[in-house]
Amino acid sequence: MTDVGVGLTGLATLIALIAVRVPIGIALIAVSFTGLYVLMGPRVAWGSMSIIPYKFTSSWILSSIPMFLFLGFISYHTQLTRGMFNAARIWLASLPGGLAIASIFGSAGFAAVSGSSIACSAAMGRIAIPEMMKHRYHPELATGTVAVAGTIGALIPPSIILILYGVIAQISISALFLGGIVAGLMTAVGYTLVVLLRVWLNPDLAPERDASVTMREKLLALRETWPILLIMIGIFGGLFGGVFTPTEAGAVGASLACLVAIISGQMTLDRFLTAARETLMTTAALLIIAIGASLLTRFLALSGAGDYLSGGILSIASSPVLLMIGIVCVYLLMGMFLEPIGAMLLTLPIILPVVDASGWSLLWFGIVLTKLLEIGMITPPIGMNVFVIKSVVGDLVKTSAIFRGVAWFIVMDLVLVAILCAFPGLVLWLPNLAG
Amino acid sequence: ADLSFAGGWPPNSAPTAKIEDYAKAVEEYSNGEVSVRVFPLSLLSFGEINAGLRDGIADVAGNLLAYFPAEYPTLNMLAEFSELVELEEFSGELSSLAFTGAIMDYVMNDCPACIDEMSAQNQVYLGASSTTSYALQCAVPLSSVGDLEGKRLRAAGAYWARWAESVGAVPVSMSVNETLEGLSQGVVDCTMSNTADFVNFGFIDVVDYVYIGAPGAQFNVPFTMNKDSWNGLSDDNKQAMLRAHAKLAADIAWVYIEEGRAGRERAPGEGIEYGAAPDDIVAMNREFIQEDKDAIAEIYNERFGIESGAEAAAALTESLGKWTELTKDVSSGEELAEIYWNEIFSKIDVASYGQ
Amino acid sequence: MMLHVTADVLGRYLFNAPLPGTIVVVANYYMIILVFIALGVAEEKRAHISVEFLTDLMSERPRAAFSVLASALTIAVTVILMIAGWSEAMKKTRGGATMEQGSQMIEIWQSYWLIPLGAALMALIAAYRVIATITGAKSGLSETDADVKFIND
Ligand code: NA
Ligand code: NA
Repeated sequence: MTDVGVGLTGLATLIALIAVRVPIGIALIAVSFTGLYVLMGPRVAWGSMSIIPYKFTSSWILSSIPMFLFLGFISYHTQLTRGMFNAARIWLASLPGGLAIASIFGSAGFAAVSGSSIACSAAMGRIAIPEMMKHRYHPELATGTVAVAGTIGALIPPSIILILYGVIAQISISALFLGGIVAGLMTAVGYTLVVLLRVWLNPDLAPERDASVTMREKLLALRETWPILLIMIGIFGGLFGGVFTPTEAGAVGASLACLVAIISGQMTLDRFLTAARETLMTTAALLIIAIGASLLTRFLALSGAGDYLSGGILSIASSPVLLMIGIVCVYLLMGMFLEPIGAMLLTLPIILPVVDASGWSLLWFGIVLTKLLEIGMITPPIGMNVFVIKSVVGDLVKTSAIFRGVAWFIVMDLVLVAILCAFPGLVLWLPNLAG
Repeated sequence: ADLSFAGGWPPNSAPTAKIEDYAKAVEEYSNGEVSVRVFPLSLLSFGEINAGLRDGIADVAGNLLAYFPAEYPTLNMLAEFSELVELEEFSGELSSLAFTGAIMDYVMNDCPACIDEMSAQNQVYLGASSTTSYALQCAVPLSSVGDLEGKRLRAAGAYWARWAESVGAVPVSMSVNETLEGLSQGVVDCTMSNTADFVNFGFIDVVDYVYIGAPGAQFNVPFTMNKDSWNGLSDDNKQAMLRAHAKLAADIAWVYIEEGRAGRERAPGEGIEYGAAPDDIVAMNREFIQEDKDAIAEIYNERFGIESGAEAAAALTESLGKWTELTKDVSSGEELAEIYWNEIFSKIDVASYGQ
Repeated sequence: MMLHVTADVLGRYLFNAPLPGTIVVVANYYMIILVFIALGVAEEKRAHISVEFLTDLMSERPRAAFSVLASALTIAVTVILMIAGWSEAMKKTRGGATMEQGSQMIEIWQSYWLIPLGAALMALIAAYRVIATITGAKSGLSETDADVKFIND
């Protein structure tokens, strides 16, 4: 068998193993080790296993991942997020579908302290869905909105996906973060339009609105938002005020969240330990996949299969538009079944050279990719955000109903992706302004 | 033989292009008997290269020894003596070409300890390239030594950290990728970086002042080869490799000079004040180096028991005189490659080298 | 780690006195401890990310068979990781691996031992699960499927 043949066989085996529920990280390492053994002999295979896991993990820049995770978990478990939703709810009470819109903006606010979209959905789900049910919102609208609003969590910084992407593509993480802000806010606005449109078409979806809110109540509600605002201001102020780097921002933000939780009387030892344990497990689960993907990169490079596939993609896609449509379809398809970070790490070794060769901005691509991966979080059959919401609502709403509620928003997501592709400047202007 | 070269530089960068040229040269000089496949960044990162070469994951690479102080004490000590190029008699735009020659000459001919360090990591030393000298690249103006006090300076290694401490500044450790952001947000006031990185890492977009002549010193990147792969080559092919490596060392060193020049030419258009450091900083720097070269010998003696520090400093100082003379009129990579080949690489006994 | 980095930032910003060696310690100690020790914990809680979609469509028996395959592969991979980590740790210990930050030297060879340790832990837990699955015994591992879905994206 040729070297490229070994590489392609390895990839096929990898896909088969993942399909039968072998943990993705384990499958990646097993295939890479075996492949390197076949191609280069025992020395290289064992050598790679002894060097790469340590060197990949002992990364200063990656150290921000557990810190941002901890920041999110602490904020969630100590309920620092509740005030954000309450304020949005009171301010938006007079709009049609005001509660649903409030959950979108509550999510966008929580996104600023959470690196992930699931945490966002979970946090907002527990707060916003009961409120919407109480006001007789249609369950599909209520659950669907919160499930999709969570995806803003990975766009608005901090974002675990963007950090990992920045490390692998070797581009500035703060530039990615700035690009993510634009895409995240566009997404929030887009989702709001969907809610307004749906309620306008069918007012029964959100029959009750609360028009009796006084200015005084509005101002009082703002007071409750101080924990998240303080953390946000601390992170972004420090970041752009020259106090710390993006890598350090996670640790400082987490410290700040702990401090705020203590001051607001919400911190207990139990909550702290829960957040710590979840951080540990999530970090390990993510990093072992990243280590495996890093090994796979070497295997693909040495076998030549990576170049072969990248070259193949470039030669099939005769125009940039066609190529982009191809990439979008591939990620939407993968997003149906795969966990997004795994999907990203699996494919970047092949896709990044293609993007680079096409002369596209790696920064812009990172944002579009994040958007695409996040769509995967809400598409059937495996839509993690939907499952999280399902776990919040229990037997009250069927999973299929939540997926139906999500469908409208997916259309908007595709429109947003098209806009981002057609006007890369939308993503790039803010990073350019700052850099 | 089919060799792999693990490049630590990004694809599409000027050094990577030179490595591609080197791969062609190897093939040509060996009459097609040896070929080199280049993997820019996809095979090993700089942090992984040493162990990767040791275990044969790649055959040849630019190996940043500074990442491995315990494994390469002697070689790292020699690299730190690059500070000597800022002394009045050696300083100048092309000083990195002279230091590259001097250190290769010393390591390959007069430093059995260096060869042993390489051997212990299952590698063979095949030359090196120095970056251009490190300069202060600042977001704030400096008019005298006193202005440095309390400034936060990004330091890439021990020499620059010692230098910063000696002027009352705060050395800040930060990866080169973070430095651009650190400078633009004001986490650090200046970076001490070479004049090629000024463009390569985008400092040109965020700094307003570049002061040449301080703190000085250069980063030295040796090119090393897996020892088993080296021993597997015929003497003729070893000769061909050495010839290609004379070219590689010259090309990379020259690329840094060219990139440094490009930065200097672009700087005024970007509104950057680019010029010599204030006189008192330069004078203070030269005094510092006179003392620091003894300090280096002492530090390495204390930490690693190396006793040849003072001797090596003296030998390099003398050799730098010769190399400054040899390289002062060089105007291309090819010309420089000829000099390195004639003066060093061609004189090596390939049968016994590296053992 | 959180407090260490925060102290470094505050020291640098307020007092112009960063904590020496923060970057090296965070990368080579905290990150390695965090990831490699948590590997076993994540295995215990079944928090490692996998794709259940296809196996969920299967009947009990093939699903159990694939589950054993997954565990067997997990054991194989972690044992390889353990042996490779062990041999590298031996080399680093012999060489007394250190790193430099600023003008300081920081020993890092100790942290290399955490890889074989963490891998061994994970292998043991995976082995225990296989035995429990095959013998049909109830495993004493606290698998909390609902919680571990909180993987972050
Ligand atoms: Na976020
Ligand atoms: Na999906």
